[in-house]
Amino acid sequence: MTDPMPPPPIDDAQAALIDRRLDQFGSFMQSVLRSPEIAEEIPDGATLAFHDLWIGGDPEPLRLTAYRVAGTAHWSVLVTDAPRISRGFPNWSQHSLLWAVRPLIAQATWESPDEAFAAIEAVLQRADEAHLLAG
Amino acid sequence: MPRRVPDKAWELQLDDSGQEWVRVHLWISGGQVTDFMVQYETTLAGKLAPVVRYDTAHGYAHRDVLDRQGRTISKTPLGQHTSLNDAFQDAMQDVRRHWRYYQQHY
Repeated sequence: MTDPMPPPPIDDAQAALIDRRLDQFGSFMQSVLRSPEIAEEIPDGATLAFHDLWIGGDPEPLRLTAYRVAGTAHWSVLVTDAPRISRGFPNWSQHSLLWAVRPLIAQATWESPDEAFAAIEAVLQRADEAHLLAG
Repeated sequence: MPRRVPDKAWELQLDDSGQEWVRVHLWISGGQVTDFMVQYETTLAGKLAPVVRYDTAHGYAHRDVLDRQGRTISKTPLGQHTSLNDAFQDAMQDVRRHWRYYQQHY
């Protein structure tokens, strides 16, 4: 059997992207191991994508996970980690922001992970502004 | 005894062109993750092929490095772990540091 050609080289920009996505994958899996119910939410055979979202002046991001069920073209989103909440120090602002996106997360789908993340971010930004205005 | 089918199999595209991927399998029992397999894959002749695999099968966490024919060329224990979380952290640390080496020497 002939040896297949070696894989093509990876340039530095793509290597940096791979590093970042591996870091996000590692964070996601830590959340799954800590909170296995996340695994129940994401169907078997899904393709994943990640996005870290800084909001409300919080120094730590909300971690969003988009998933596409195998054989479909639609992406759904979960908030898979809110670091301050998961460490047992609930941050009221972050907690209330999460409630703002619950209906969207439960019902909406998008055609790409980027569209999904943008929609969630827009809702959270509006909720954060309303939260700030309300004092 | 053959290993049962994983409860969850997910994949993640790592680069923009879809040449590099990570695949993860999870085995879940009693509401807890009991085993995992994480595999870094690259594209050979238009098909995804495993480069390195981290697995808790056979009762210990280990790393399998594969060649372009899909054969395991080294099997290395990941060390002593008190939890699945520790084993996973070791696996992620290894793939994060060395994925490019594994890909270049595939």
